[in-house]
Amino acid sequence: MDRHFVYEPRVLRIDLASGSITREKRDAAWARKYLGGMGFGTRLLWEELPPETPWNSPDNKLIFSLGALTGTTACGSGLCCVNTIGPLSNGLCSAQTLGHWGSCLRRAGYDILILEGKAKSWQYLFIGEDRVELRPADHLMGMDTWETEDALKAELGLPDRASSVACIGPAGEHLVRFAGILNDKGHIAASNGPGCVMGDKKLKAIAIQRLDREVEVADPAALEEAKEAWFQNANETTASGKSKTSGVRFVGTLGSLNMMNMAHLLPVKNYTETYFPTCGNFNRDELEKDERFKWVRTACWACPWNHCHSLEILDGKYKGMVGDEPEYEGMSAMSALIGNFDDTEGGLALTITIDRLGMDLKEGGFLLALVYELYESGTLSKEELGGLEMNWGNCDSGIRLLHHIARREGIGDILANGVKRAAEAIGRGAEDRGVYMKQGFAPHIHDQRAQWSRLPGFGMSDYGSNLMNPVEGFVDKENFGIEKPAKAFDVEEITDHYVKIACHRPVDDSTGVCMFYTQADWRFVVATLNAVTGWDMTVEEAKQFGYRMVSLMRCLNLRNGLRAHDYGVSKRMMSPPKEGQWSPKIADEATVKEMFLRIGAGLGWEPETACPTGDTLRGLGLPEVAEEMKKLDLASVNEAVRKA
Amino acid sequence: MAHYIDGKACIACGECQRRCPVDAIAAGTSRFAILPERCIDCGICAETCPEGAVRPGETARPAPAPRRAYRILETACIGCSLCARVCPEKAISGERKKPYHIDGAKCVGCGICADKCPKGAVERVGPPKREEPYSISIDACVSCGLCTRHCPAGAITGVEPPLNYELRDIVRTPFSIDPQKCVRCGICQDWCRVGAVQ
Repeated sequence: MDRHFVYEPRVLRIDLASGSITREKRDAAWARKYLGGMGFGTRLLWEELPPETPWNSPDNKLIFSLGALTGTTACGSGLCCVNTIGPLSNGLCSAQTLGHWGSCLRRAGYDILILEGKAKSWQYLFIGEDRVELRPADHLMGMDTWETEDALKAELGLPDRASSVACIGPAGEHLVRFAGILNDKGHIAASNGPGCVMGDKKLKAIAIQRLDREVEVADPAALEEAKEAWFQNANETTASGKSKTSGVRFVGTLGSLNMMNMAHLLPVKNYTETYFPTCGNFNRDELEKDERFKWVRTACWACPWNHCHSLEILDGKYKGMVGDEPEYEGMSAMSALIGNFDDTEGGLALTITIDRLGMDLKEGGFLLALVYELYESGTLSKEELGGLEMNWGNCDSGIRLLHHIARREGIGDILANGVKRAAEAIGRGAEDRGVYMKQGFAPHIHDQRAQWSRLPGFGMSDYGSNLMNPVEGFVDKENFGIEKPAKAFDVEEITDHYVKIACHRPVDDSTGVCMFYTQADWRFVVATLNAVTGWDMTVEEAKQFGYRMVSLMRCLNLRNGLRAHDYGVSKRMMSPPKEGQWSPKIADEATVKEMFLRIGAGLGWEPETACPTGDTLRGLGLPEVAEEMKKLDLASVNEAVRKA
Repeated sequence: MAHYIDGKACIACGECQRRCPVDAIAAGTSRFAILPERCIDCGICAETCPEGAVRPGETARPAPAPRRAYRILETACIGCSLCARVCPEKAISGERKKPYHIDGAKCVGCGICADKCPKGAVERVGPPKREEPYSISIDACVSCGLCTRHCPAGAITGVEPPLNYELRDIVRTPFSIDPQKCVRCGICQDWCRVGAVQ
């Protein structure tokens, strides 16, 4: 007889300071209320962290959490979410990564991995069939992310897909604030620097043996039916699969480079220009035809779309370099953004270098762009840059500077703190030229001046750059009541739509499935979740969860020391491009403020403090959070925590 | 058991299941498996798998060996190179105005060279060629497409199973052989796993 299956997330808790390993369980009601992934991670941080915890405190925790669907046959279900207090904002970090690592953790028997305390010496964690062990990692130090993975797999005798490794590179070891955690050669949890926290805890890598086990689900037959219907629906959505020229399944995210350029959404030369004349050379089709590059497919767990590849440079200056296929963010950062208009090979070498060193491409891209601009304008001299000539598009110097940053050598020590802190430290007008959000991290490689719908996603984000992409071109009448896309510069329409879909991203990041699949009709998403967990969830309940997380994330950040004035975008993001360029309509400070206020009102937040009201929190099922927020003094700021 | 899926290499993308012409692949909750009683050993799953996780089993049928072969009579060959140009397998080589040679390892025995040779210099080894073109039984065909992929004359047309899993039971797309184009070599019959070629 079938046993009644109950979805109760299993937690593996490891205290790195003492080396103690404990296993516990969360109950079913908690799981349904916080869904999975970032929901679990954020809630655990709220429950377990003391107020005003700086990122480098031993109290800070690094949480890897999976969704209910991770590791099943649901398409794209390789998602793992990393939550911690991030070093760029000293607020919540919620970064997602795909590949195979999440599915391996699920089949090893865990849904959540919590790392606490700081190890005394460098360690790596091994999760095998019958053991969980912390082992010394001195022999792995200094290795880049690719080398670390190869060395660990060889040492464990578990090559290729027999194991999966998540690790940090030199950047994480040297506490670069925007270091990420890389797994399966090229998948990175990057926003807001989780790799830096992992480095601070002195953990070099986490290796998991792949077990040939099935994930237990409530109704396997219903799962098979629901996930297939979902896949068919996802194939029909425009963003993911319909169009052969822009669908992710055919040309990856890089396929959108041309389209973004035509719409002036591609930032060129650190926001000083608005058009990328040689964009065609960097498009996926052209790069695939180029015989200097070899593409090999490397699909993520349970993904039938063929868009991930590894890339090897076969000829030229950078011959022999092997890395991950450039995605849109990487290629646009290392071409248009840094003024590299011709050198495709150099651009690819830059994306490969930054991946292998284990750094975030978004922050790294805007940081390089700032240095190039400061060098061109004479603010930074060749001597200050350690002899590097940083003319627009000089890829060789860019690569050398990345190595300096990753090891905090020379000026790299200042730059390793991210765009905002580096610009403030350099001074001499750099603050006005840097592209960053006031929270402390860089946005996605998008020029939001040509479409204001990105502004609130960037400026109001609580957990690292948030590309709330559904705002543009998003239409979903049945689930969200949006009949036509918002106009590019219509504050009323943008904010109205933003409030309606603010619940989208938390659900995307919590189900355990890649966001390209969750862009499908949510009725399929919820049906698959129900098949796996045995719930009777509705789309409305999923939306309610999304809003619960939006408010909980804000409360967590306020409790951790962020205030309403810490949210917003930098001056450069509201400045016109240089003369002679096509100029978009610029949103001024007042417009941005109006947007934030309108969205805050829509979400049930107080206008002055941007804190969710007591009624809002109680309505979302968070009365204990409301009680704690009441005690908080939102008028004062703890400078020590903000500057940590 | 014919083909099988290596559970440690499968990444659960499900492409094999969507492409299998006879529904012989079952989904678990985090992996896929081939049902040996249903598998016709066509190998489409192995071709589809991005990770090479589908492996031929111990009893998997090997590719059929050509029953027929052809050879060029050196005395009759004038070295016009026509046979080398029409050979779909590029099995014929030689220098112009000298006798040409067929590579036995590459020749699949389609006989197109013999049909085209102006001097009748290509000779068939084995039983004589059949007179009537081959045909496919609509009822027996499972639309796996193996015959199309191996037909040297491009005489077989049809649509391989739709990727749309839902539609597969509704739309049936049996293959058919164009009698005008058929060179009567019988390769399709060798490859067909369900005995649909008559």
